[in-house]
This record gives sequence, structure tokens and C-alpha cells, in this order.
Amino acid sequence: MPASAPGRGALELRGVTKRYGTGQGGQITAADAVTFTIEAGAFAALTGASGSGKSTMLHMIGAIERPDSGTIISDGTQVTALRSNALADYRRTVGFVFQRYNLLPALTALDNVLAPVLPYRTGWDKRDRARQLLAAVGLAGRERSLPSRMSGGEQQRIAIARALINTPALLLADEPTGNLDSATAAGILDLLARLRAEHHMTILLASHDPQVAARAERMIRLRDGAVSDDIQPTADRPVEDIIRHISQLG
Amino acid sequence: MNLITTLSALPALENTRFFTGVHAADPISVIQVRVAGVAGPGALSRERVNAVAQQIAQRTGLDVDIVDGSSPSPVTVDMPAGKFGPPPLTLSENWVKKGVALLILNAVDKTSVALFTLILVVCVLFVGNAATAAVRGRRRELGVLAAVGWRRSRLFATVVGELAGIGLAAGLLAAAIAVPASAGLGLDASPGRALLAVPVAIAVAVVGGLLPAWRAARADPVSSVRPPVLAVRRAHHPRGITSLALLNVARTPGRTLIGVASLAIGIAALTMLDAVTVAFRGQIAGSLLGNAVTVQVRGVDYAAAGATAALGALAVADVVFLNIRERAAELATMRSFGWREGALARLVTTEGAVIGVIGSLAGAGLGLAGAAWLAGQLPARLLAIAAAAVAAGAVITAAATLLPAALLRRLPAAHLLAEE
Repeated sequence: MPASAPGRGALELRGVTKRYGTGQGGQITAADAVTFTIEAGAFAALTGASGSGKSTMLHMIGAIERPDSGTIISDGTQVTALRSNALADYRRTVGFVFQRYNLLPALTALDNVLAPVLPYRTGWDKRDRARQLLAAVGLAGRERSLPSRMSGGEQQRIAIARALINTPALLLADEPTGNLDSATAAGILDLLARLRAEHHMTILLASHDPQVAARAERMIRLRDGAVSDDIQPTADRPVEDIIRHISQLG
Repeated sequence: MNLITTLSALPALENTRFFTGVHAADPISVIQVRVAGVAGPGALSRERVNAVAQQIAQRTGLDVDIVDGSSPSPVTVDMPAGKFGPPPLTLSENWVKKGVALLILNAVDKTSVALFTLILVVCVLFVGNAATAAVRGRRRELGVLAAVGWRRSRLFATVVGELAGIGLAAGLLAAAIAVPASAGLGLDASPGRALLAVPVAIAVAVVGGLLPAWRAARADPVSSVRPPVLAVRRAHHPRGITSLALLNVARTPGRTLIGVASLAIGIAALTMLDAVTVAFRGQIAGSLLGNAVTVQVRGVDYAAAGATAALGALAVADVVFLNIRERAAELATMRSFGWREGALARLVTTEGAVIGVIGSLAGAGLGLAGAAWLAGQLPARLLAIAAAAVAAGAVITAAATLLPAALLRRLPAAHLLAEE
């Protein structure tokens, strides 16, 4: 099994900008010279209204999209300078959890967790680790189940186990509770918090829901692609105040 | 006894001093005439021979036998015992059968028609596959139309009408290309004849679209929200890229079958032609028949069989392309968790290769069976030809799937991952 070490997963964004054409000659700015730093092992949340640029930011950090300009440095690697295979290798150091799980429907729960390492040789027992991860997310005994026969919460748990197969230093979660009821969502957030402590990893979560974002130690609020607030709960400013403040901003 | 000689021997034959016997008064029994300008067994040569035969009969009153294309073949003859002691004998004599070449020519003409029909069959499969994918891609739209009250007949007619329109456009384009192309190749294709491509293209498009249109007519709002590629019913455990490719091929069995059938038809035609030209030459016991058959495999037949095989390979590439399109979100997910581009490309090209090998094996088997049936034997060379056809099918399919595999890099990963 790959070793997990504390102190990994630091993230730095410098002037990251991304624009999309609207198809009618116009442009939408999804990221506007975004600059922030997240320390290794932190649990941070990107929040903001729908369309504020949260998902785009996660996609750029996860090397799924390339920024137009700016620099992203993850765990000492300048992501924006990587190409081709190096980019794919970087993606294997990052865990990504999607709102709609994005499981492979033809594969069982166990094989979905194994999917990221299917074409590669590892120095550890893949199947053994996948079983351990499924047990860690509360799905022991469901290894042979197909995603189509599992609930939304269970599917998201598979997706989380899959994201951890390579022992990532950084876990990116894009609206991980967006398709779940509140009780299941709370369970998923508890799970992420527990796994972060166990695996010594950095978590960056995107959610439009202030209640969800408030589970993080730090909230970076985006508005029209730019950072509008960077908030950390303190003794003077409890979480409830922050949630109220963000909810009022919309 | 026959004596074959030239006209310069006539004075000697008519002089009773030199030539006596039963037919001394009429020593010439047969005059063999070779017609100038006859090169091979083509239609023009046949007409020339017929015209000359007619003129000889009219001007001389002689009986005329056309022996062009005759084939001596061994016939076993039983001789009864003679009255004065000779025992019964079984003899083998070469009897000449007239008109064999004509029969072969007619068969060859039918072969050409069959080959071009096969091209159209592959085209129908091609259209059917594309139309099925299009209907699948529009399942939401069709489901909504059904929900708002469109009748099944209307949905059916809509899809068939669209395909007929595409067929019309394709036919007009084909006609426009056919005129200059045939002129360039020295063929006779008048604009009127070229326009025959229009009804043929419409017919191909409509026939190919009947099944997808029927499926479209059965659209309902519930089916419209189902995923385009169904999940499997049984659990599978792929251990690597090849086994995952096999699993993916099995997820769309109808489409896979169309790819296999399209390629099999082309490979079967190529195998049969190869077998006829290579394996049968000189194998049919010295008879002219074998040579006649081999001579009659014309270049245009190879062009037709080659075109059918190429279309089959393109059909497989189309299957791979449609699979990529429908499973784009899955492929984007794989990329997001670190699959290299090479691994993704290997996955989709393996899917194409699996279909290609199955189609090639099926086609070579069919071609082998057809050729063996034609010859009444299965020479070892035929097996070598079949193996070569399988290899050729696999190679052209792999080459054809490189094109859709190249599209992988253009997948809008972020968009797909957000939409899934």
C-alpha cells in the first residue's frame, strides 16, 4: 500500500485566469486573476453562487482544464507547466470527487475503486487496498455490487474510495453532497473529515451551500470568478455568524 | 481419323491420284475459323463471333458450330462386350462441352452484381448503425415529443423522412461525382445513368433507417432519461485494458454485431476472390474450366470486394466512434483520475481490434466455406489465404480505428464531467 505522509498537499494559485467564449462573441470570466494559498493538511472550501467559478477552479487545480494564464503549484509541482504524460501522472496524485459521482456503470464497486490503477503496475496489492478503502467508507461487503443498484450516498462513498486509491496528497471535492439528502450529506462530510485526519491530506471542497462549506476550517468565497472573501472561523467570529453572513450575500 | 491442315493442301486433297478413300469426293469435314479482334471472353468478342458465324451460315449454307469457350472434360464411357470376343471395357475420353465459357461469363456477371449488392448491404448496415446512434442521442427529444402527444406513426415518419433527405443529398452528390469520375476512367456513365444513384441512395438510407425509426416510434418519456449506454446486468472484473475493452464491446451488442457483419461481408468477398485466383489456378485437372474461372475474376471485382472490405473497416471505425461519443463522460472520468492518453487510446483501439478480428474471422470462414464449396475441395493454400484475409482485416480495422481514437484528445473533459 502506498504510504501517506503528513505535510503534503500544499496548494498555491497565482493570478489564475480562465475565460470562456459565449458563442456570441462575448466572454465569461470563470476565474479572474485568482490568488490564494492553502497549507498542507488544511480543509478549505470554495463557496459562492452557481456560476461563480468554483468548479472551474477545481478543474484547473486537478489538471482537467488549463488556465489561460497564471500559475498553479500543487505539492511543489508547477501544474501549469506540465504536459501530456506528466499531466496524467500528476492527476494520479490528486483525488477528485464529483457531484454526480462519475462512476463507471459497467464495473462493480470494487472495480470502480480499482479503475484509476487498472492500466498500471503498482508495488502494492491493488485489490487488497481497494477492499480496505471500501471498508473505510462503510461499504464492506458491497464490493461486487453494481453502481446502478446502490443509493446516491453509497455511490458517492465509492467515488471517495476511488479518489483515495493512489493515496493523494490533495483531495478535490466538487459539490460532493449536491445530489444527496441532508442526512446522507452530513455522513459524507463526516467521512471526508475522518479520512483527511487518517490520510494526512489536504481537502479543497466546492459547495454553493454555506452549511456544507462551513464544515471546512477556511472558506474562500468566489464571486464572478474572483475571490471576494477569505474567511476563517475564530473565537470572535463563530461558524454560525459566517454562515449567516454568506447566506445573506447569496 | 482427322487431318488438320491449311488451305495450301486443298489441291492435293482434291486430286484423286493422291487422296483416295471413303470421303475422296468431299474430303473436308470441318473448317475452323478464328475471328480477328476477339480478345478474351468479353461481350464485344461474343458479338463479333456471333456476327461472323451468322455470315458464314448465310453465305455458304454450312452448319456453324461456335466452339469458343468449349471445355474438354474427361467422361467415362462403358463399352459392352463385342460379339466376336472383345471384353467389356471402361474408357475415359475427353468430350468437348460447348458454351462453357458463356455459362461462366453469365456466372461472372452475376458475381459482379452480387459484389455490388454486398456493397449496398454494407452501406445499409452503416446507415442503420449511424441512425440507431442518432436516435439514441435524441432519446430525450423523442421522449418529449411522445409525451406531448406525437403519434408513433408520426415519429416513425419523421425519422424515415430525415434519412430519405440525407439519402437524396448523398445520391445527388454521388451522381455529380460519377459523371466526371467515369469519364476519367474511360467508362460509359451518362448523366441519366449516373442519376440512378439518387433512388438507390434514398433506398439504402430508408432501408437502413427502418429499424431505428421503429425504435424512435416506441420512444416514451421514461426511456428518454435512461443513460445512452446501458450498464451491464452481471458483474465483471476486468484485470487490464484488454478485458475492459471486451467488456465495453459487449455493452452494445447490436452495434458490435453490425460492425462484425459489415467487415465479415467484405472479408468473405475478398477471401473468395483470392481463393479463386490463387488456389484454383491449374488445380482443376487440366480442364480449361479452371483457367476460365480464374481469368474471369476481373479487376473490377477486386475493386468491388476491396471497397466492401474498406467500408466494413470504416463501419467498425464508426462503431468505435459512436462508442467514444456515448461513453465520452466515462473516458473523461478515466482521464481525470490519471489514465494517460496512450492508455485511453489503447482501450478504444482494442475495442475496434476485437470487433475487427471477430469480423475478419467470420468473413474468412464464410469465404473459405464458399470457395471450398465451389471447388469441392479444401486445398491448403485456401487456409493460407483465409489466414491472410484475417490478418488484413485486423490491420485495416486497426488503421481505421486510429481516426476515432485521435478524437479522444479533443474530448471536452470538464464539460463532460459536469454533465454526467
